[in-house]
Amino acid sequence: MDAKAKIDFSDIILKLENINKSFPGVKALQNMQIELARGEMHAVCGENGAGKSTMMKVITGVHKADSGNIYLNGEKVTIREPNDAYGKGIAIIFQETSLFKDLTVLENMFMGHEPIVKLGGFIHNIDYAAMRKKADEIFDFLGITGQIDYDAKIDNLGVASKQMVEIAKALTYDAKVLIFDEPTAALTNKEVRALFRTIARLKDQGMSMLYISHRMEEIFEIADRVTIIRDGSYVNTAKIEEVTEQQLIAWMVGREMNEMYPKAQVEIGSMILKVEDLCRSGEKDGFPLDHVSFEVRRGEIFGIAGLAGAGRTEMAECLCGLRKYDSGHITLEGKDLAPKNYREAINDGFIYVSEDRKKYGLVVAMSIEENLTMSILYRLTKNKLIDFDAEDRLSDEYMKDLRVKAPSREFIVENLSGGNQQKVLVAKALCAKPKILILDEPTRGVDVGAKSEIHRIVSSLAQTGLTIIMISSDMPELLGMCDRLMVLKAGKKTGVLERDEFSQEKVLKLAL
Amino acid sequence: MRNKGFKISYELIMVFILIGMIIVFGALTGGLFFKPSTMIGCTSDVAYLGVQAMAMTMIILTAGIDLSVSYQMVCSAMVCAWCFAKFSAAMGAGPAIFLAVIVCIISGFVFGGINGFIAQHTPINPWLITMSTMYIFQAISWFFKTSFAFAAGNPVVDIGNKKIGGIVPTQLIVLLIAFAIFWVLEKRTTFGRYVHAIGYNENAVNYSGVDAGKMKFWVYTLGGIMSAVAALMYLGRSWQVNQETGMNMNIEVIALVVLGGTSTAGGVGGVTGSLLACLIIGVLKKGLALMGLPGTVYNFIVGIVLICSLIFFAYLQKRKKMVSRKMAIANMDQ
Repeated sequence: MDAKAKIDFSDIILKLENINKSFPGVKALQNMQIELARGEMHAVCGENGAGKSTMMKVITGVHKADSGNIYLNGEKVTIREPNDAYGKGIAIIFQETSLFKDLTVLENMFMGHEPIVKLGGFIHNIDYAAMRKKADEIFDFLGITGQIDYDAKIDNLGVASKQMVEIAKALTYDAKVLIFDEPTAALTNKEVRALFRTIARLKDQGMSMLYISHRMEEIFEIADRVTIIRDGSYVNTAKIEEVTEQQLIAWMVGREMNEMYPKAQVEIGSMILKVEDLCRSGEKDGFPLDHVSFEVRRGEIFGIAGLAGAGRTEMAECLCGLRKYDSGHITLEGKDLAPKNYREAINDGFIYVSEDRKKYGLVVAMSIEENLTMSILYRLTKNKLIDFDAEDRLSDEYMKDLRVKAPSREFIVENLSGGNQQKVLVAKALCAKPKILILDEPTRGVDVGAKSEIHRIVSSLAQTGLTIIMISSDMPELLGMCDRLMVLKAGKKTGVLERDEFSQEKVLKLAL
Repeated sequence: MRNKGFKISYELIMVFILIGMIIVFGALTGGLFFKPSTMIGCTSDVAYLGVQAMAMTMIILTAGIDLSVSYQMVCSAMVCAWCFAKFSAAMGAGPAIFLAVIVCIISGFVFGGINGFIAQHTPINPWLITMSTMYIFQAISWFFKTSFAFAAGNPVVDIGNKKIGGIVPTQLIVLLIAFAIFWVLEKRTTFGRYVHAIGYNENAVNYSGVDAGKMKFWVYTLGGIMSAVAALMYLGRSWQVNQETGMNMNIEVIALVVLGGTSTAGGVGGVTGSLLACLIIGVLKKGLALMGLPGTVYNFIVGIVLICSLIFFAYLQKRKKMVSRKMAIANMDQ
């Protein structure tokens, strides 16, 4: 605790100012800023996709910022490439180690800047003795003398040791600023303790550190200050003793749920879809499902929650004939169905909007029009030939309905922004005039503006009487949008929640 | 595929090159090349390749390949000749040739179907599938090896060598009919749309309720049928085939498709380019022959033309990407 008191927050070693960075279709960073004081442990917090990694990549020269300034020790610097960052004393410890697994600890530590002895003036030879001497110093500095064999191959080391080698490698560059990117993700509790001891030692020696993590308890344990970023923008910086966990989460999420989700009041009708005892072994592909039964009512937004691997996507794909199930009954509007393939399921009234837009959803190299009509092109034929006029009319109609922002229907989908691509995907589904629309992670990888627009679209679709099944890992989205919520856990249904009993805790309890 | 602009420009350039070559050869051969019978007649040398290239275009559009194409042709031709030799004594020449032609087409269907079946049901790379079947077809053709050659008076030979009005060879007419059928198939049917889409992203096609595997089966089967048609054309022109006929011809067919602007990565291209490429190669072959240059010169020039067209094609692709990226950025700022 004493160490924290000693830090002078006005002595700034690294400062980012108004950093902007865009990728095609996405503004990854907008007026991003951060100040790192000398000798400080500074945590960076944000949701997935908030821009933490992009920010670190800008600092370490992997990406070049479109605009904005980086100051190091008060001087404006440009960091062109990772080596440049090393040279300036900024080093990053990646989640996945960047070490060469067939080389030794020593060789990895000095990779790219090995000390050289010249033999006879022209033969450059690696000076192993000098390397060992420097390594001794560094290991001593880290307080891990003798714990790692210099000549061991990286492949034979555990995760924690690899991380130590990474840190040691960073120190061979005389790093003044160390960046940790989710360092504890793959460590056991014991190893985390060891890492924290090392970090504490580094701090005592005056190292300035940025620490990216999701784990609240870690941040509260080791950080001096925390900066919260959201959707590529700076939100706030606070001293750790002045904030609570709730406050951090509120900043990270940044919005009241009621404002965010435009849920319209919809008259819920009678039962439309009934699934009984759906089973699949999951031996050949995907995850298993174990006697899943549920009912969905007309006009309802029915959510499916669960962790990765709970069988949510498999459930949806079974309904659509995209995957085989072993036993069970699917009844739509009183009619028994056994969809053999997706085409048949589409004709029955199902449509599935995949979670992986680029892999399964769209042919991004083709035009908006060609994508829109892909599932129902067979309905747009005259004498076996494509009726182009009908196709044009249909795509214009759906592009207008969903407000797809593009110069023309012949525009290549690849060049649309993520949100517009997602709208094309939804429009493609609606073209088929479905009775049941299944949305799998409809807003993944979409920026906030487009996200709320998609939510508005989903909500207004429900108003027109369309029944929607929504699968999502985004808990606020599910709680905000759904009328009822089914929770799956390892292929089993663990509960169905009505809207008035929704809470994150209840869902998590059922899902874990 | 109705993305205008880029595609038309590549094909237009090919038309200009074709016209330019005719003029150059016409000048170099002292006007000999300008004679309609030469200019149009030269296509009969390459028409059988063009017919195979039509189907090969569709295969390559799905990001596939068919290395066995020429051995399917040789094998079908052998089957045809064997059938005729076997039954002509018993049935008489007329019915026997009718039977032989039908058997030839059926055998092509079967050979292509074997490729298609494997491509549909396994994830094996088509290069490897068709390389394996290439050896198989080569071996099968041994079984049907006959010393028998077609002769004048045989309808296949008569039709194959005929020139309508003394100028337009039937070979060219078959090629143009094949082109017309494939053009409609590629540009105007759902099948053609899906063939392009499979080349870009097969998963997305499956997730649109379309059985991409079935499409692939038919693409390879069409390849087999067109090889059988090419076999009849080849027999009509050359009266006989032997094992060596198939050698390198598969590469020639693939080269035509690539020269025509179809990308081996799949999705990009079309049959129009392949037809133009076929005509260009036909003119080149005849022109060099008329100038009395040896075959190696032809190989040298074809190699140069291919690599230049590929470089140019890559440049056009890059430019197209830059233009659409600019448009995308402009669109984002709206």
